[in-house]
This record gives sequence, structure tokens and C-alpha cells, in this order.
Amino acid sequence: MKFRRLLSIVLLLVACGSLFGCGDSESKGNLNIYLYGMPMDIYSQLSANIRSDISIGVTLHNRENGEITRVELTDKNGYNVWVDLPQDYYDIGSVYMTNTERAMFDVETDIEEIKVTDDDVAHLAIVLKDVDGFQTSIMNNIPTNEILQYDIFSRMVQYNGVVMDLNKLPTTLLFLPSGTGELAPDEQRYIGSSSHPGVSIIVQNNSQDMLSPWDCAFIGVHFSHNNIVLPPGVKIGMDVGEISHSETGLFKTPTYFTGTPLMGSGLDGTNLVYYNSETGDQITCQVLAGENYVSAITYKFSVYS
Amino acid sequence: MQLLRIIKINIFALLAFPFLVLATCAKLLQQTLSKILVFVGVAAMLGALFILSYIIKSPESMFSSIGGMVVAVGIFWVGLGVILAILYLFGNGIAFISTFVVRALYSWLNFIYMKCHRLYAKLYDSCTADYILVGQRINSKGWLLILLPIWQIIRMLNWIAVKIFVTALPLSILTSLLLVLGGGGYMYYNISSTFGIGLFEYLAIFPVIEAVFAGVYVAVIYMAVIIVLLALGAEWGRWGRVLALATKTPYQFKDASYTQAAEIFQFNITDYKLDKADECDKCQMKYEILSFMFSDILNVYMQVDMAIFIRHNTNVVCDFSEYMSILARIKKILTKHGTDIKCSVFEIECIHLIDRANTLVSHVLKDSVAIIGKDAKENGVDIDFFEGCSNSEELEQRYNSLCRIYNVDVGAQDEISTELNRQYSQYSK
Repeated sequence: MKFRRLLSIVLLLVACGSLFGCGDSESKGNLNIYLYGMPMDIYSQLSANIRSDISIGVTLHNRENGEITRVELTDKNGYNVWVDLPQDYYDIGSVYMTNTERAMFDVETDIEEIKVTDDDVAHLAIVLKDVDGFQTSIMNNIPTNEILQYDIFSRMVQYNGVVMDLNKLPTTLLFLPSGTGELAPDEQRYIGSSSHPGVSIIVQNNSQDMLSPWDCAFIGVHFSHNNIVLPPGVKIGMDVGEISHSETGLFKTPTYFTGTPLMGSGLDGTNLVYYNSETGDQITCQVLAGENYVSAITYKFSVYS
Repeated sequence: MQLLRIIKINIFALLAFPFLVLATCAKLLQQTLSKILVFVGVAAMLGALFILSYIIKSPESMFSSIGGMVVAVGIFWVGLGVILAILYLFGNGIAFISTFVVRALYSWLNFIYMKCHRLYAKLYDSCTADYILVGQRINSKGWLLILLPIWQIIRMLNWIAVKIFVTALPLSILTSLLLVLGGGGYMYYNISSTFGIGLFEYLAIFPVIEAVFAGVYVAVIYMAVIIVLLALGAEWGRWGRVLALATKTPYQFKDASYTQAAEIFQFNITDYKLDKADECDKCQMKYEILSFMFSDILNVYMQVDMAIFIRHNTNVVCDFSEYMSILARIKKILTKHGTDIKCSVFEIECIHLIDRANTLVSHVLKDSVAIIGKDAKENGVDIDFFEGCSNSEELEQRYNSLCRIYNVDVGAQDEISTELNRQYSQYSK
């Protein structure tokens, strides 16, 4: 009986506790973290898919107790966050932005510490690096009339605002193969540009012997940064529908797909493959697992050969 | 005085709320746990799907060549063989441990439910009694709503919970249908709006293995969700029916519970015997307890009926409703397995239910006799413990069951125990 009474009292106390809660006597201050210097008219030119994938993480270290607070600025919260923190001095641990390649901008802050008090709002500005560079990149990414006139398998690309032939890319940009390994017969290798991140050339050993990358055939180009436009206006970050809709898509229905049909499910990635049976050229638009937009484009020449 | 009552009702209702939530959660988890095998099956299904997706997603897919396929099939059979060997060698141990863990969890949840629900019911009954008194003085429903907001919220939550649980099975069927139709429709719409082509045309552009796997993947995920939904719907619906019966007014409860009790009473349990071939003492003992429960149901009913007309008690009503629900379930199990029931079946499917029913009927009898006894004491009327017993066998059965409840060693009042013995010796003469 005693145990039952005791249990009843404990349960009653638990009930009262859950009803009235436990007071938080610690005084807190308000900190506002925001992105500064972003030209919104230029920013809005970025594809919605890329905008929604951008995340700016800020880490704050409490000097007193070493507690770490992580804050995330995103397109969804307008790159503006208010946090309640115990009043104290905080070191700005790190400012890190994801998806910088596709977003074409980066951020920084020169503030190293911040004081949070309960009588005033503290502000922490995360500043856009190289505003002019961002503006230029966005403007360069608008398809020119010239690129719009070309056929999709014309092997032409608008790179950083300049229209160029894909065949001439290895001589225009700098490519240095990492490592010295030779390629086995039929092996392919992607060699990233050391001067232009986000561009790789694809080489293949078409001989029956081991070959160094320099002696292999140049068979295609791979783009993963958002600074290219393929005719007729296809860009990285575009919705799959904008490219592959049977009537309104820029490339129309793909010749075939590889990967999972459950696009956006997170199960696996999907590739949209466009094949020109006359020239053997093949364009592959890569969609990552869980995404619904094109995150990379590969152009391969004369695949049938 | 009225003001104090109003404050008391609101405070008690506020205190009752967390107990209602805790009791409901514990009961729902307990009901969920009784479908553990279904969840294990679903988990195995999803596990197999995960392995399959790993094989298909691997860069050098095993299905890309005949050799790879042979390796994949080989791995599958070896894996299956290992699992079967483990089950053969350690099956009994695994079964014992898993049964022990499940039973322990079940008992703990039951303990939490019983404690919380009893406290909740006491607070609820106290509020109800005061609410009736306050209602006699304040006739306006509007004023009652304004003065007793928390109490009204608790009543509303109770009502909503009962309605939801009663319709849990139809709701789960409807949700499953909506899921299938909605999911299919969404997929079709998504593909046609993105690609401007139909579902089959879209799948035809993919390699066959990817298209087939995607179909299997979607089917398995949907099947898993639907199985879980239906299993939960069936179990929670069962509990909903108990709640629905328990929350009726005394007059409605009398009619509804009598119909159920009569149905249980009419079930001739003697037609269903334990198979002599593998009969054990434990099962035999439980079977006898069960036989007594079936034959004694109308006596329990009458006692409950009498008690709740003296003073409504949510605990008695709830416990009796659940007791009858369990007996109805056992009846269904026995009917399903035919007249000769194997001990192994009886042990797995019935014994835990019999134990639960035994606990419930003890609570029901104890609480209802306490109400009757208190009333008798207050009004100076003696209780007739053996009312309705027509022969010595019934007399002895009633005496044995009452002795279980009014045992001084387990805390019963000495006077009641003495009175019980006095009446028994008088009737026995």
C-alpha cells in the first residue's frame, strides 16, 4: 500500500511538473545573424533549385563554458536568423557555405568575437565576398543569342560568357592530370582543370596497351559548376522538366535514362542521356539522389566509335 | 462552496490531463506491441529491399553479367542458409529471449497504463460528481463552458479519443486506400508534368532492371505502410470498442454490456478441450480458470451493474469492458482452432489473455464490492455475497472467487472477510 501511495505521489508530481514546466532562470540575449551585401536582383537570377541548396553555417563558441551553437542561414529564412543565447562573449568559430560552385558566390566575416547581452541586440554580419565577381558570373551565365542559335549536338558551349568549341577546350583551359598512373585499355579518366574548377576533360585509352593520360584520346567534357550554358540555353541547376519535357523541354524527352526512375526519392541518382545516332555524340545530364535538378552535364564525342 | 467546486474541477481536470495522455500512449503502445510479429515481418521485408537496392546500386552491379547474377544468387542462398542454421541451432534461445523482452515491455506498459488510468479515472469521476452538483445550481450551459474550461477540454479530448479509436480500423483502411490512390496519382501527375509522357512510357525508357526494381521498391514500401496501418487500425480499433462501451451512460452500458455478457455466457466452453496428446498442467490450470470466467460472467456483470448504479466508477466500467473484450477474443481464438486445442497454441495465444482477464476481473470485483460494501455500510444494509447461487457448486465457486478478493493477507478489511465466511457457512448448511 505504501508503495502505491508513493507511486501515486510521484506520478502526481510528474504530472504537475509536466503541466507547469521547469523555470529557466538564465538570462538570455538576442543575436541577429544576417547576410550582408547580397544584391537581391542578381541573386534572384540563380535557379530556385540552387538557391534552396545554399546553406551558410556559422559556429559560435561560448567563451565561458565552451558550449557550441550552430546557426544556419538559408534562402528559406532569408539569410537572417535571430537566436537567443546566454549573455556572454562568443568566438566566431567558422563560417562555411555549401554549394559555392553552383551558387557562384562565397561569404566571410571579419568579426572574431561578439558580446551577447540581455539589454541590447547583438548583430553579426556575414559579408558577401567579391560582389562584382558574383554579378559578373550571373551576367555571364545569361544565354547569349549566339549560343541559342546552335544545335544541341553542335559541340559548342558558353563558358563564363564566352562561346567556345568543346574540341578546343583542352588547349584553352589548363588541365594537369593528378597522379602519374597509366590507363589500361578502354579505361576512362576524368582530368579536372587546374585553372577552372568545375570543368573536367574525359580521356580514354583506345589502344591495347597501357597509356599515360597525355597519350589517350580526348572523348568528352564534364561540367559541374554553374558557369556554362549549352545550346539551346541549358544550364546546371535547371529543373529536370525544363530540360526533358516532351513538348516544352529544351532537350525534349531523353533517348534513355540510367539510374532510378524514382527521381527525387533519395534512392539513387538518375542520368538523362541524349544520343545523336548520326554523330555518336552523347549528352548526359546528371541528377543526384534526392534532387530534381541537373547538377552536372557530360558531353561525350562519338561514343559509338 | 460552488466557487470552491469550480476551482476544484478545473484543477483536477488539469491534473487529470497528463494521466490521460500517459495512459492513452501506454495503451496504444501496448496494443502495438501485441502486433510485434507483423512489425518484425515488415522490418524483414524492408531489410530484404535494402539488400536488393545495395546490390543494384553497386557500381559494378551484380546483375550486369551472368557471372555476377550467379554470385548474387549464391550470396542470397548462403545468407538464407546461415539465417536458417542460426534459427535451427539457437531458435529456442532466441524465441525465449524475444518473448521475454516483449512480455516484459508489455507488462511495464500495462503497469503504467493501469496506474495512470486509475488516477485519471479517479480525478475524472470526482470532477463528474462535482460537475453534476454545479450543473444543478448553474443551469446555463454557456456559463458552465466559461467557468469550467479545462474540464470541458478534457471531456472533449476524451470524446475525440473514443471516436478516433472506435473508427481506427475503417480509418486505417481509408488511409491505405488514399495512400495507394493518392501516391499513384501523385506519381502519374509528377511524371506527366515533368516529362510530358505517361507512366509506362516513362518506365520504358529505363533499363528493365531499374524499372522493375523501382516497381518492387514502391510496392514493398506501400505494402509495409499499409500492413502497419491495418495492424494498428485493428488493434487500436479493438481498444476503441472497449472505450466506447466504457464511456456510455449507466443505462446504455447496462444494455450493451448485458448483450455482450450473455453472448459470452452462451458460449459453451466445454465443447473446446485441450488436446490430450500434449496437455500440460499449466495449460490445464489456465483452462479451468477460463472455464470459470465464462460460466461466471453473468455474476460479474450483475455485480458491476449493481455497483455502477450506486456510484459510477470509470475504473470498474473500463476494466469490465476490457475483460469482456478479452473473453470475446479468447472465444474467437477457441472457435478458430476447433474443439481439440493444442497446448502449444493455447499457451501462445490464450494464456497471456487469461492472465490479463484474471487481473481485470479481480480489480472489477474488488472495486465493485467496495462500492456496494460502502453503500451498504452507509445505509445500514448487509450485502448478500451469495445472491443468485442456486446450488452448492455455484456457492463454492462464488466463495472461492470472493476469497481471492477478500483475502485479509492481501489487504482486505477483516469485517468483510468475516462477513463473507459467516454467510458462506450459513448458505452451506
